[in-house]
Amino acid sequence: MAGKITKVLVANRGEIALRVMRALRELEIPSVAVYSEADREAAHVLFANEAVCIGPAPSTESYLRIDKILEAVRETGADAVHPGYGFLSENAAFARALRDAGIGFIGPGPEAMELMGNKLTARAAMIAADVRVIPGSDGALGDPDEARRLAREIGFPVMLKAAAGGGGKGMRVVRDESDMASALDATQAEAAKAFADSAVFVEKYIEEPRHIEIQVLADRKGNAVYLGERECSIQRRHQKVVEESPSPIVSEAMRKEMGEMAVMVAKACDYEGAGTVEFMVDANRDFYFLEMNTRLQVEHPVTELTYNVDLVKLQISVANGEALPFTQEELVPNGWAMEFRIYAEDPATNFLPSTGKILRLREPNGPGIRHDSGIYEKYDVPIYYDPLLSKLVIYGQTRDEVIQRSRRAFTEFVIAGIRTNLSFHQWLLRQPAFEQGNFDTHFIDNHFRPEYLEQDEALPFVALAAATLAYHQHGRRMNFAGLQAFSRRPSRWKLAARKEAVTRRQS
Amino acid sequence: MSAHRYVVTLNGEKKEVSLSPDGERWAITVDGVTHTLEQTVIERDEIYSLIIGGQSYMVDLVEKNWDSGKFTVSAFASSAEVIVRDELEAIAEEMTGASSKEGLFELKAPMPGIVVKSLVKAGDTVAQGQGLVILEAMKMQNELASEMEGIVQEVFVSDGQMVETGAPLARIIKEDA
Repeated sequence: MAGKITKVLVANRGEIALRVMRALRELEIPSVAVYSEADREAAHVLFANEAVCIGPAPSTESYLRIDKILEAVRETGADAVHPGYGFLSENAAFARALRDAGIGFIGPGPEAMELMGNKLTARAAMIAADVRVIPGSDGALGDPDEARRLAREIGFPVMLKAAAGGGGKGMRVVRDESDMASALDATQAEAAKAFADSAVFVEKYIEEPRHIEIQVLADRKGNAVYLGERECSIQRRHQKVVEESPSPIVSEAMRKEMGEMAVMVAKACDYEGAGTVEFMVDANRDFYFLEMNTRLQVEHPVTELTYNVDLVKLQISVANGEALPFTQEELVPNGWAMEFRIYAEDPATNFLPSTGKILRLREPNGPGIRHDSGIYEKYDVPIYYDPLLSKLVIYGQTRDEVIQRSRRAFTEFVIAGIRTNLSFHQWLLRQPAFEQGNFDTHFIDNHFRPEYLEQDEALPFVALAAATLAYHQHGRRMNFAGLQAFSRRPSRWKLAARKEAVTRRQS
Repeated sequence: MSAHRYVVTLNGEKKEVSLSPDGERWAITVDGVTHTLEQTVIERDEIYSLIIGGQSYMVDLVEKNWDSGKFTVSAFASSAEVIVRDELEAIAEEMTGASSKEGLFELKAPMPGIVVKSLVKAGDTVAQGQGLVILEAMKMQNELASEMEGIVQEVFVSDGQMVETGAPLARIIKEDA
C-alpha cells in the first residue's frame, strides 16, 4: 500500500466493529462494514459509511471468508482492513492475502502471527530471546520415564499439555509421580482424538494462578513501548468476564519488569501495532510468558482510560508508517479502570445463552462511564455469533471509587427482553474477596452459585403494583371503548329507514 | 369509590390485591396492608414513575398480555413476572381451568435456535428431566428436558430446523391420558 489510509473496511461485527468505526470517524476516514445476511440490522451496519453483504449467517460462510472480504475491499475501494478481534484477526493467510493484493492490514505482519500461533514454536523463540517461560519440556514427551524425570526436575505438581491444544482441552494436572504413566496415556489419547496430534509436553502447574497481560505498541521504526498491565483473572470456562488496570497485585517495580519483558517479546517477533503479551503469575508473584495475542484485545479500553490514549487511532497511525507519539518515560498511568463484559446469557441457569429482541435498553450515564456497545433498543440479537453484547467500562481515581461507581452504574442499567449477566456483576461487586483484590482464575468456580444472585427487596411489590395498575387501567379503557362503540350503533329509526329504502329499490 | 379486586401471582404465590382511587392517587392493599401510590405515566402501558410511600421508582412494563394478564416488569435493573386476574375471573378459572391442562406437557423453544437433534420420537416413554431436543443457539448446545414423565405424543420439529422463541418442539402426555 502506498500513501496514507483513505478508506478502511472493518472485517468484524458487534461492539468492536463500532469501536473501530468511531476512531475512523474521528479521523474522518470513511468506514466500510461487511455483514452477513443475519446482520443487516446490526449496529455496525447502521453506523458505517458503506456496507457490503458478504454471505449467509454462519460465520464460516461470511466473516471467516477471506475471498468474500477481498471482494468487498475491491468493490468499495478500501485501501486498508481492520480485523478487530476474533474471526480473521490472527489469521496469517488473511494478512498475507491482503499484503499480496496491496491492501494495508491494520495489525502485525503474517510472520509474527505464525510464530505466535503455535505453542511450541512460540515457546522455543521466547526461550531463545531470554524471555521467562513456565519451566517444562522443550519438545514432545516420549515414555513415562522421561515424563517422570522431567517432572522431578521441575517439581510436582505439573501439567501435561497437548502441543496442538487450546480452549482448556487436552490438559491434565499430575500431583504425584505414581499417577504419571496413566495421566500421560490419557492425555496423549485425548490429544490424538481431539487434535489429531498426540504430542504432549510437560510444564510446571501453577497453583492459584492469576492471568495478567501487558499491552504493547510498536512502530515500523523500531520503537516499542508497554502500556501497563491488565488483570484478567475473573474468568469462567477460560473466558474473561471482568478486567481491570492496573492489577491490584502489581507494584511499580513489577510493572516495569513485566513491561520490559513484554517489549522483548514484541521485538523478538518483529512486531508492529498493538499487541498483548499474556503472563501467568503464581502465588509468589513470579511471572511466566504464556502467549502473545497479535491483535487488539476485547479489554483494551481499560488501558485507554488509565493511559489516556486511543489504541485504535494509534494502530492506524502505525499502519500509516508514523512513529509512536510518545516514549516509554512519557507513559505514566493515572487512576483505575474496570471493564464488565455484558453477555447475553443467564447466570441463574448456568449461563445459558439467550437471544431475542431487546425490548428496553437504558444505559448508565454520568461520571466515569464508558459503554462500548453493539446493541440498541428494538435490536434482535441473532443466534449465530458470540454472546458479547457490550462492555461497560468504569473509570475512577482509585479502585475503591471504581467499585462504588460500578455499583451505582449497574443500578441504572436496564436491558430487558433477553437475559443478561448484569445480575452477576452486581453480585461480584459485593464480594469481599473481589473488593480486596484477592482472587485467582478459579474465583467464579469456587465462589459463585446461582442462588446467591439477589434482587432488590422492593422489586416484587413495585412490580405487583405496576402490573395491577396497568391491567386495571387497560381494562377501564376497554370498557369505555366498548360503551362508545355501543352508543355509536345506528338508531333503530335509521335502520328501519335504510331497510325501507333497500326494499323500495328492489321492488 | 369502591375498590377493584384482583388476584396477583408473583413468584408462584397468589396475593389478594385491592386497588381504589384516592383523589389523584391510588390506595393499594396487598395482604391486608394499604400503601399510597402516586403514578405518573411516562409512556402509556410502557414506562411509569411510581412514588410509593415517598419512595421513587422507575418501572418498565417490558412484556404484557392483556388477555392472560401476564406481565414482565422491570425495575432496579432486574425484572419480575406477574400475572394479574380479576377476582371473579380467578375464581372461575380455579373452578374450571387447571384440570384440563394436567397430564400434558408441551416443550417450547426458550430461545430462537437450530434444532440439532431430537432425542425422542412419538411413542417413546420419557422420564421427568429426560432430554427431548438439543437446540443450538450462539454456538452453545442446550438440551431441553421434559417437565413430566409420560409418552411422546408428537415431535413437531426435524433436525436442522430453525425455530423461533415459543415454537412448540414436542408434546408429552400422561400414560393413561
